[in-house]
Amino acid sequence: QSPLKLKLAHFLPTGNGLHSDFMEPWARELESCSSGTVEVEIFPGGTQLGNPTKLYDAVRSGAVDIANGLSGMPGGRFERSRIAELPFVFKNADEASRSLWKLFPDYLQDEYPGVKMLALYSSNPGQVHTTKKSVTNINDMSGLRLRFPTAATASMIKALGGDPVGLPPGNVYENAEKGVIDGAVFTWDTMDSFNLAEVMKYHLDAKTYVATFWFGINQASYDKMPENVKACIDQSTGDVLVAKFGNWWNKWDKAGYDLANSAGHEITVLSDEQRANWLEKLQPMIDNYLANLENKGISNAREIYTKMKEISNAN
Amino acid sequence: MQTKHNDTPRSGKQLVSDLVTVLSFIGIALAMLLTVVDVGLRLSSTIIEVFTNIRPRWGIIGVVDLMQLAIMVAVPLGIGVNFLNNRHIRVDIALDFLGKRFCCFSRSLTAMTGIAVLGICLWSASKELNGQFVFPSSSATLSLPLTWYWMPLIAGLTISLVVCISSFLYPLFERKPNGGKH
Amino acid sequence: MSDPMIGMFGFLLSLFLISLSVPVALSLGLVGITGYAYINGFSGVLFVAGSAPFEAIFPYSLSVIPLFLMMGVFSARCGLSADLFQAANMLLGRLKGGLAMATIGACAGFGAICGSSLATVATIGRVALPEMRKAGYSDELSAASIAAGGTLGVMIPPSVLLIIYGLLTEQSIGKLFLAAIIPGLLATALYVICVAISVRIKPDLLKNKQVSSPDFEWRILRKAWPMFAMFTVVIGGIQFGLFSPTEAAGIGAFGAVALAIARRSLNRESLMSAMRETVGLTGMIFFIIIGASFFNFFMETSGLPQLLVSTVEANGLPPSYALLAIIVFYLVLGCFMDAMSMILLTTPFVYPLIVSLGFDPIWFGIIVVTVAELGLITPPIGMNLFVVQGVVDDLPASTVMRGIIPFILADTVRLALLIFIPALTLYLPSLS
Ligand code: NA
Ligand code: NA
Repeated sequence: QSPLKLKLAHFLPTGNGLHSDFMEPWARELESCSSGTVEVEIFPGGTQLGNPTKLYDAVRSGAVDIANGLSGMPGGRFERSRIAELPFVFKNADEASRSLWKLFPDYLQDEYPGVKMLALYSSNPGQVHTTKKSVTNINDMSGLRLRFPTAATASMIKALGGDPVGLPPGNVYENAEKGVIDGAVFTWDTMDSFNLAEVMKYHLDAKTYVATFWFGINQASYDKMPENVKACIDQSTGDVLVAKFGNWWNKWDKAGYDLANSAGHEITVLSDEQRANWLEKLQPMIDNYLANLENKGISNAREIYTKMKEISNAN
Repeated sequence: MQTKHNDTPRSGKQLVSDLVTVLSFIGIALAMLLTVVDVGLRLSSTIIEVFTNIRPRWGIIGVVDLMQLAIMVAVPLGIGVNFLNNRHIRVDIALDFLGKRFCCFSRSLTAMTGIAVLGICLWSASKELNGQFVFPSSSATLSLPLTWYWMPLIAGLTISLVVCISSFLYPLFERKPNGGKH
Repeated sequence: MSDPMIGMFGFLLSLFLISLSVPVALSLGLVGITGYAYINGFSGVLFVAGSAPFEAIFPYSLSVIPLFLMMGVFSARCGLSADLFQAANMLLGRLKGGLAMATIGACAGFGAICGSSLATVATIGRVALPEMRKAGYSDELSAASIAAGGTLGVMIPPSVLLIIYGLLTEQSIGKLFLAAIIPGLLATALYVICVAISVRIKPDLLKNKQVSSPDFEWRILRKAWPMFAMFTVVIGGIQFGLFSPTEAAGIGAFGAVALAIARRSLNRESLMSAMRETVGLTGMIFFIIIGASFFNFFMETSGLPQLLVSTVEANGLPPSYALLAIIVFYLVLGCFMDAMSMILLTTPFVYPLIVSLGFDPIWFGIIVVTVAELGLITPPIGMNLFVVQGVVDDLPASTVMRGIIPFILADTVRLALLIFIPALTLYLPSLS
């Protein structure tokens, strides 16, 4: 009997840790756990099915069975989950991932119809990386053209007097090298994985934002699977999976951090006091962001934000 | 290969075609103006910075979103125009050798293929548009509703599909078979 | 039937539909949709059909195409082609076969502001063919030099084919443009040499020997300056990081419109026809991209590309043999297909193979465009040959095809040079 073929799609290059440490091993483990009942084929970034803005529609329609996507793509979809991306909500990937998963059943589940979520998680906080101008405090952001990763970060850059620029990750290097942008708000791992350490010499570790992701399976595909496969999926996802992201991100980030550090770059870590200062300055922007969400019909936006902050502060 | 098979000119069709052409062209022209103005503002900011050390942060906010919208208007309407004028990239060597009867066959085959492909596209696209109303998403910087981007696509596909259906039905009601003019 | 076999069958079926003169986009689309449905069931197809047309138009990077097309169309309206031809004629006209050489020079010049081969043939053809006829050049030589010269439109940057290759393979368009400059000049030189040799071997190509060409005057050269200005701003701007390819195209289009207005070459009628041409070309190219994207969904899911890569790897075929096979495949396909459709159709399964064999993607982009443009002039189906026939009445296909043979030889020489001396393509990008 030929194995049941499952398609797994994501938007990252195969060299990325999310592919090589998380999804690829997860897929192979599922194959062996189900003793060959299923076979998982992965469609990474660059393939037709790996289009980041279409991943959710792809998995909901059943064009692929499993997908891993960014909550920010396309914009406007997963607004509740993305409240976690507001400045200074979470300090690390572990805390953020666990909190998202904790809030999922009561607050976030409705955002993901037709897809059974296997994990919600986030990256470690990103930094402000610049090419020529050192950024060490809040006023230095003014006038800089910075590539932004999330909508909340774009609002933040604007609020601090900078100029947010939208660019796909793969184009950041070229634009930084040519001086089209002055820097990027990005996670440490990109210094290594996109070679950005070659062009970005100044790094401000302000722990301002995290980017959130989802990992899910088409509900109908899941429902019609044999019980043993369901069991294999259940035991390798959810809490078990969510708990792994903290260590993974630390490992991926370390490569980029070490590269910048050993090259003698200027790395500034923002003190807690300064972070409080930033937060104060950004509070109007945060209020505005949440008010916008409320206007869009997400009436409990502020409640979700408060819950996230509570969980974060308790840690 | 790329040929202009103009059917017997009917002024109504020509009028529609010209109207859609102008709409589509406005999209491209807007995209052009957006880039030129944005680049101009950015370059002047840089120049001012060189001389005064102050950097005015000029530029069009959300220029990419607006460009995408302009092109999204231009392209599907352009496809519609090509259907209206029966202008496509095709290999018509067989037409030259096999003559009139093959031409009718090929014309029906094209119309049928068009109905199948455009029909399924239009159907799925309207489902997507519906989905956008229920479950809206928006553009990256300006948060424009993506429904705006879907409408022109639906319009262009509809024009093209209508042309295919009429060119499939037309020969059935025609007294003299037309099409020797290829 | 296994999935890769279905993929192979689909590829052949689409060629068959294309040969029945079904529009290329519809042929690829129909096969793509049916094939995908056959392998993945109907619900997957709804996703593909709902997303492919949108996603084929939406990306910002693609807006470069309509803008470059607009630049070419409006440049053609403002008499620049006649100026270019006059300037080239002044420089080369005195030589034996000089008018044909001038035609090629004018094509190269026009290629530097126009991204498409079609437009180059049509634009230069309208100016140069009557002149060559007047001077007693045989139709065989005149038509062929225009058809061949037209391929410079896609080789010399900006180039729609290179843009599409770059987008499909995620390579930098700026680097591809830079890589194409030397091969483009090489092509121009080889065509000129080809004319010089042809008229010596076959003197009856020039029925009337007395040629009068204008004396050297700076005034004439100066009239062609907007072309140089536009090329420098567009290509230079991309290289020095002043703007992205899309922005460069927007500025180029603006320059062309401004020039057309300044030279008072736009009235209501010519503006309408320029709009028709811009919109028509844009629609045509994007419709093919949409059709090809359906086809690519199908190819990817059939596993044919992956199978090809693993077969070549498993057999330990030396890279040079594999490359030779790929080039022969393209040459054969080029006899029957149009260049852009060919690139869209084949890149999904050829590109992974090329990368796994260790070839440079930028270099291969130039090779693919060279081979694909060779397809534009090879009988029986060569788009440029048809367009030349479209420009002038009473020009039998056999005449054009006879004349094109030396140019095909010239292209073969260039292909060999580019393959054996990769520095011809890779030197300029390595500087940036
Ligand atoms: Na060109
Ligand atoms: Na050919």
